[in-house]
Order: sequence, then structure tokens, then C-alpha cells
Amino acid sequence: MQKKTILITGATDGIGRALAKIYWTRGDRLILVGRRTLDTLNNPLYTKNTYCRADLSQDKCADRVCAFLNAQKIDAIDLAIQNAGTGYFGPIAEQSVESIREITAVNLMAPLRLTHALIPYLKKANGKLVLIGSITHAFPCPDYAVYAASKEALNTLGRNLKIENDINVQIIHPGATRTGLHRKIGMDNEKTKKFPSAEKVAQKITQAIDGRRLVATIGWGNTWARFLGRYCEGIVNAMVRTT
Amino acid sequence: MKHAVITGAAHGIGKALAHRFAQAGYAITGVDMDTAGAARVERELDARFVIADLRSEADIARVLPKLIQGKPIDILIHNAGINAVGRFPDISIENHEHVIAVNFYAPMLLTAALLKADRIAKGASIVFISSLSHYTSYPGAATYAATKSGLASYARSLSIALAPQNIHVMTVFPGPTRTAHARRHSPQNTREEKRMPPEKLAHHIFRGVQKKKHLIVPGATNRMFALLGKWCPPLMEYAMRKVILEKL
Ligand SMILES: NC(=O)c1ccc[n+]([C@@H]2O[C@H](COP(=O)([O-])OP(=O)(O)OC[C@H]3O[C@@H](n4cnc5c(N)ncnc54)[C@H](OP(=O)(O)O)[C@@H]3O)[C@@H](O)[C@H]2O)c1
Ligand SMILES: NC(=O)c1ccc[n+]([C@@H]2O[C@H](COP(=O)([O-])OP(=O)(O)OC[C@H]3O[C@@H](n4cnc5c(N)ncnc54)[C@H](OP(=O)(O)O)[C@@H]3O)[C@@H](O)[C@H]2O)c1
Repeated sequence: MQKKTILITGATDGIGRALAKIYWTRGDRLILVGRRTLDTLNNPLYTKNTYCRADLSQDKCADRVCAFLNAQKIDAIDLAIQNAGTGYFGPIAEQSVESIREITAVNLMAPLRLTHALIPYLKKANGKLVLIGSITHAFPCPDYAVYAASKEALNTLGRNLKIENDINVQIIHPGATRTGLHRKIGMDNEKTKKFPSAEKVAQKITQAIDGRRLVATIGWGNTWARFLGRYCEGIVNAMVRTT
Repeated sequence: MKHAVITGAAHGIGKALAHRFAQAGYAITGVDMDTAGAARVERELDARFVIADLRSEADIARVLPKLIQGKPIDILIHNAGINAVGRFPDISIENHEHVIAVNFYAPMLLTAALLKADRIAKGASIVFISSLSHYTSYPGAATYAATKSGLASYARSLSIALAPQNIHVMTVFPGPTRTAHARRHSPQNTREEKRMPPEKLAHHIFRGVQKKKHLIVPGATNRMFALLGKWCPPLMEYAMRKVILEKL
């Protein structure tokens, strides 16, 4: 197989890091985007030629990524996976402005900014844009409304970009996965121990990326759940209301 | 006297809503950035406006204390909305960002702050003006469509979160409406008379609030398109591509 150039955001933890490892063993050329400093990342994956430090909650994040690509003399990208994400768990009235701002910026603005900036790179390689959503976009989520809303917006952005047909787009919705996300957003950690591992989910995501579906949900249970959330809105709302 | 706060109330649907709720005896507070338009509505209605550009977080922070010091809010309508039409790469990144700021970010900031300050009265309604594009898709306005679907999702979560406090949440999915907004953003305006008059839409919304509905798609034709878009997306997407995208 030919070596591909693959960009992954949020590649320093969880699903993104697992994806990076899979493509690394395939021998692809990686561009890994994260907010941590390089010296804290003790893994051969991250070098000054593969790791681009950019805080995706910042306005100018896309400029930073493009500057890195230029410095690396990369002008074409085969696959851009917009995976970085963050959240908040708790009552709506207690969520801070900073948290609403960060979730909107990282989960929605950054993918939008990066997509806008990367289109020429993707076009050049006839590449593919992958947006990592979440099945929560199809559900009412009283404890993380802003997160679910950002994922629903991302899903709709992808759907309409697909119709506009300037670039090849895919939206992938994982279900609950055992990563650091839940701890970071202050969600209780007992339940999360039973979730499938990031490695397993990442493996399935790469299979979906090799396929052609516009919207791919990871796992049969999640596919059903997402279908119910979208098409049996009333029933699902009533179920959530009583729990 | 009950109190309604309506964003984008200087023109179009927001202005029609201000009229409809004033007629039902509500005191109206409008939020808009057009000072002259706001003054006009203030004269017509005995409404009060706070001037703010909802693209700006600083402006939102500046007007919030005014809303918080005001009377408790019985109806909060998130109506202000902007669009940016064109193929995604052709629209400047600033315009994309503005659409997200006004249509998506501002309603969430206002809602959270007013809830935190306990300014939303018990038994109140919070209304979100989304768009039929949530069901039909809207190629040529991908970011707009994204914000309107995101808003609908937020409202759906909020509806459940606030039910124990007896706060009602409703999402409206208007189709084409005869306003300056629609005129500015449509590829052609030859069939403008087919768009729903904003006064009629405002009445649907008023009734929806009275009946405490959670979702409304006003107008029979719009409802048909919503159903088609929901259950047969490829068909509606094909139509939207022909009618909108290819005419841009
Ligand atoms: N875990 C789940 O149950 C689940 C379910 C459905 C969908 N998802 C989605 O899957 C994606 C990956 O999530 P995950 O579970 O793997 O979470 P994670 O382990 O927390 O990883 C998220 C990654 O995004 C990075 N990131 C966060 N904020 C950033 C910022 N401002 N700038 C740059 N990078 C930033 C994180 O960096 P740090 O390492 O510095 O934190 C990390 O590399 C997210 O989009 C998430 O919404 C997750
Ligand atoms: N018209 C339609 O066909 C249609 C269909 C579906 C949904 N909608 C939605 O319905 C809502 C109202 O639309 P409309 O047709 O009545 O639009 P409109 O005629 O353009 O009126 C929108 C109002 O919002 C104000 N506004 C815009 N940006 C603002 C900002 N940054 N800060 C403060 N106020 C701002 C406008 O003020 P200025 O005049 O100063 O800009 C105007 O008074 C929007 O959310 C729109 O997306 C409309």
C-alpha cells in the first residue's frame, strides 16, 4: 500500500492517539495535532516532524496548523481526521461561560476553521475529511447539552458539505469509549470502566474510514441507539425524562 | 404584566413576535443591534430595547446585567439569526464564525446566564427559532444549517433538564418566511409571495407557546417537506441541491 499523509487532531490521548498508532504501524506519514508540549509526550509517535502543537480552542489554531504544514513542506493531505473534543458534565445553570466557549470552540469552531483551511490540501490529494461526532448528537442530553449540540452541529455540517460535494466527507459517530474524556469533564468513572477500549474503537473507525458510508456509527448497539434517538424522538425523550 | 424577551426584534420575524406578544398583553424587551430599527419598534409598541451585537461576547456580557436587573422573564425567544450563503470554501472564515456566534453561541450564553441568575420565571417558556433546514438539509449554507440543528439539539436537552423547574422549551422550524433575511439570502425572489408572512408565523409561535408544544413546523407545506426530509433524506437533499445550490 502507498504511504498516505494523515492529519489527526486530538492525537495525544484516547481515540486520537489510538488512531495515530494504527496508522503509524501502517507506515503512513503523520501530522499529529495536540495542545500539550512535545517534551511531555514520551512516545516515538511524536517528534518535531510529526507533532504540531496548537490549542484548538484558540481563534488562530488553523493558521498554526498551516504554518506547520508549510514548514514540513506538505501541500497535500490524504486523510484529515478531526477528532479533538471536549465536554462538560453537570447542570446547565452551573456551566461556566469558559466551558461553553471551550466546547463550542474545540468541537465546532476548530473543525470548521481547519476544514476551511485544509480544503486545498485535501483537494490536491483527492483526500478525505473525517469528522468524529458522537452518538449523543441523536439524543437529548440534559447533563451535557452543549456537548451534544456541538456534535449535532458537526453532523449537520458534514451532511451539507457532502451535498456541496467539494471534498470527500465522512462523519463517524463512536459510542461510549473508555478514554480520559470522562475524567476530564468530571463524569463519574465507575460506569466508564465497562466501555470498550480506545484501541478497539479506533480499529473500527479505521475500518469505517476505509469504507464508503457517509455516516458511520461504531458498533451495532450504537447504530440502533442512534436510529431510535433520531426517528423515535418522542419515545426516547420520554425515556430520558423518567431516568 | 407578563414579560417577553425577544432577540432580533427590530425586524422580520422578531418584530412580528414583539407585536403578537404585545397584543396579548406582554411587556416586551427586545435585543437587537439596529438602533434605528429598535427605536421604530419602541414607538410602535411601547417596547424597551437593549442594543447589543450578538456576534460579540463582550456585548452579551454588557447587556446581561440589564436583562438580569429587569423583570423576571416569562417568555424568552431566541430569534436573532444570520446566514452566509455560498459554497463552503467561498465564504470567508469570519462570516462562518459570525454565523456560529449569533445563531448558536449567543443563545446558549444567554440561556445559561439567565438561568444562573434565576431570571427565568417558573412556568416560563424558552423558544428557539431553528429552521426547516434541520430536516431538509441546506447545501449552500452548511454552517447556517449546522447552527440551526445544533440549536435544536440544545433545546431538546434543555427541555428535559428544565422540566422539573416547570420551564417549558419549544423549538420552531420555520420554512421560507417573507422577511429581509430570506430576500437577502435566496438565489431568486420571484416567488416571494409563497413565503409565509412573519405575522402568521408569529401567531403559530404564540399558539405553540400557549399549548406548551415542544416542536412546531408551522405551515402544512413545510410539514410535508420536514417529513420527506426526515424519512427520505436523499430525495430532499437532491431537491435542495437543484433548487438552492445550483442556482447560487
Ligand atoms: N470517549 C467517549 O465516550 C466518546 C464517545 C463518543 C465520541 N467521542 C469523541 O471522540 C473524540 C475523542 O475523544 P476521546 O474520548 O478520545 O477523548 P480524550 O481521551 O480526552 O482525547 C481528546 C483529545 O483531544 C485533545 N484536545 C482537547 N482539547 C483540545 C484543545 N483545546 N486543543 C488541542 N487538543 C485538544 C486532547 O488533548 P489532551 O490530551 O491535552 O487532553 C486529546 O488529545 C472526541 O471528539 C469525543 O467527543 C468520545
Ligand atoms: N426568513 C426565513 O425564511 C427564515 C426561515 C427559517 C428560519 N429563520 C430564522 O428566523 C430568525 C429571524 O429571521 P428573519 O427572517 O426575521 O431575519 P431578519 O429579517 O434579518 O431579522 C433578524 C433580526 O435579528 C437582528 N440581528 C441580526 N444579527 C444580529 C446581531 N449580531 N446582534 C443583534 N441582532 C441581530 C437583525 O438586526 P439587523 O437588521 O440590524 O441586522 C434583525 O432585526 C433567524 O434566526 C432566522 O435564521 C428565518
